[in-house]
Amino acid sequence: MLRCLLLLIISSLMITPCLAESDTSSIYEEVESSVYQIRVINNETGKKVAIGSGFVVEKDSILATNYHVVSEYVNAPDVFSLEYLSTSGDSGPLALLDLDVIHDLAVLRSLKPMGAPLKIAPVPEKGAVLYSLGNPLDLGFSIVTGTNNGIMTQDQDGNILFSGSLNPGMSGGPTLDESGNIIGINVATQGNSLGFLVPANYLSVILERLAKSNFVPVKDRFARIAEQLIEKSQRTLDRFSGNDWGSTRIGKLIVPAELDKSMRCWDVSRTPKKDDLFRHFLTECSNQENTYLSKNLALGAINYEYIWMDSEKLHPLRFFTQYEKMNSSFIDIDVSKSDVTNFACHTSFLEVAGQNFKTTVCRRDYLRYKGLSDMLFSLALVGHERQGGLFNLDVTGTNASAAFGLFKKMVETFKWQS
Amino acid sequence: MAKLILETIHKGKRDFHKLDSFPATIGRALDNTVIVSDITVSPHHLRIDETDSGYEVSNLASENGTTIDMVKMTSDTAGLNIPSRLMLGDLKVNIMSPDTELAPTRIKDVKVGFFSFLKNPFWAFVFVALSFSLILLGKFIRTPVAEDPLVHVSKVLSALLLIFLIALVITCVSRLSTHRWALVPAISIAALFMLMPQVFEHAGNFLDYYLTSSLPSSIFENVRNFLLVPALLLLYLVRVHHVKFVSALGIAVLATMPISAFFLADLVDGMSNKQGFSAMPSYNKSLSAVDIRAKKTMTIDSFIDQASKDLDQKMTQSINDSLK
Repeated sequence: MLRCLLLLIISSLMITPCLAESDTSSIYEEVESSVYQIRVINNETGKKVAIGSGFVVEKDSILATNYHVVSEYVNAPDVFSLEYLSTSGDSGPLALLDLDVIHDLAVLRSLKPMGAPLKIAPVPEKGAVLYSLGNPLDLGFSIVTGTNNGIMTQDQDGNILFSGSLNPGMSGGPTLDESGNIIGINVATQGNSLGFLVPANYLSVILERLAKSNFVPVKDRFARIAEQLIEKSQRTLDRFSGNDWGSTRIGKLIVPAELDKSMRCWDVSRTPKKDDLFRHFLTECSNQENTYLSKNLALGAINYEYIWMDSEKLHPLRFFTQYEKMNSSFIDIDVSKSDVTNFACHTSFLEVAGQNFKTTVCRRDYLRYKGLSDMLFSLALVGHERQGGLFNLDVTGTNASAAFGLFKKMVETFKWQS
Repeated sequence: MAKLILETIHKGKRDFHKLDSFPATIGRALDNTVIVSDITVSPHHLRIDETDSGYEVSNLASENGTTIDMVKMTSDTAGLNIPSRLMLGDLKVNIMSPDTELAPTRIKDVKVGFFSFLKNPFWAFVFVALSFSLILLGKFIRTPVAEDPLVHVSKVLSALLLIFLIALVITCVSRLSTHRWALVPAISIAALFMLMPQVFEHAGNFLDYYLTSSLPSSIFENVRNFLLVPALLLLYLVRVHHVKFVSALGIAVLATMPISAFFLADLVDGMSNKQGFSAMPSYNKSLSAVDIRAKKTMTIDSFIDQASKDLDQKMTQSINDSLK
């Protein structure tokens, strides 16, 4: 009996790869005509500047892809245009219908029928076999088999972890279940067969919105992006406000620790030396929730740092010379004159935790994305001869009142421990 | 008694000639009443005659001509008002009456009054000592590590040497141009040249924090760059060498023009950068060990209220400017 059971297991192991191969080839054949390469073309040279993949969904003239595939066209529609390329070599123009920068999705329209629309299905159980399609590295259409490892936690944008080799050029391509239905859209890879998929239900949201408006293209794409970014920032800051931050001590200040699970905090203090005349501690925290907008611009970062300095040996004049040097803050993102205004700042003195702080808030607004700002807050402890504490907070791609709300809540939890 | 006094100014040297009888002639030839050596003056250049109504001049040569009170003589003869300023070629000639009023005598060594500090060795010593102390203090408070006091002193010695080097240059120039050494005032001026930037820096930092604004240090910086050296030079020329204020001002401005031009280019660059785009926030970062300030401490709600309104207003303006 045992021998028979072993034979059955061995024979089934030999048969499984053959079945998987046949499933892969049949799925590829079924959907091949609905998957395209999406190209961004420079109007002047006629050459492609970016490529990705896309697929027909909802209607035979509607294609879906990633926002980052078409971002150059979205940001400069006068300079670039969109084009599809089929597996058989046909090509033609595409137009942008709508987008979702938070989930990295874009919906496009073709002038002619593009094939059978793929159907959207819920994410299958963890461990299910998935088939990802696309045009890796512009080498031709491919199908990659992988495994569903489930939806990641909120702090990773709720993407699906896919154990399969996604490569550049496959972005925007569909990932299908065994029935050939779309469960996700290829979005990112981190090497070693670790890929990320946007759950297809986010695509359904855009398609439903488009269906309501009879598939009329979005009028002001930058206003739509700003609206999405502000909503995301508000949601993130609300989530932060609802969290239990815990507290941490830096010098004599008790301050909020980690605002959220998505925050990564590090101690970056200088290693003390025996003959140091002052002590200096620095901790910094930053989140991992940047939203891609263009090659140079990603917004949504929230960073904060605490610095403490004290001394028993330094004369107050010497101490404050060193302390003043530390009192500087900026936002480390690559923006230009065409993106934002200059910073405007307001400085005054605040009482926090019974202590006086020289406090500055700076704001700059995005020119294209109306209502969207970068905010920078800086607090410097004053009134102590040999003690200094700094708190710097910056929030990018937010609306000013939401950032003020987070700042207020953080500062109100400060405590002084003498 | 002479009827007229004729003053010639040649390369800064003034000569006075009494004219008792007329006609009187001026020129380089040795048979003239007034003999001058300026090569732009003709051998027989000008004749002065006494008439019933006063005096008249006659142009004897047409090589470089004559101007009377800035007006070129076009005819051979012209009436002469007293006093008058003539130009014979490049030679300046003043013709005046013997009873012309003189300027009051300038007292050579001012022992009292505000500017006596320039000539008093005590003050020269005080300025040098203050410069040394403030530079030492500046170096000391900027050093974040423990160092032997002699190391700090050694860092300041170069500044002390610079004071004496500047004083030496001033003294040598003074000796060459006026045949006076004027060593004590030169040391005072050199010490002030090193002292004042330190004073401006500390005063600027204090006021920056007091007013929560970067304007005071910016004003002090421009005063140091553009006014300090000309002001010290002007002070030295007027109070030590008794040069007329307007002339001294001209010399001070001319002598410091290269330095001013350098700082002006720098200032224009700075202003252009300030008006242009910057990704860096510009705010008042000054902190002070003595927490003396004009702004009072406020609550967080008042701060957010004020800051929101202020930034909303500034952003509206900024966006309008950017869209232009």
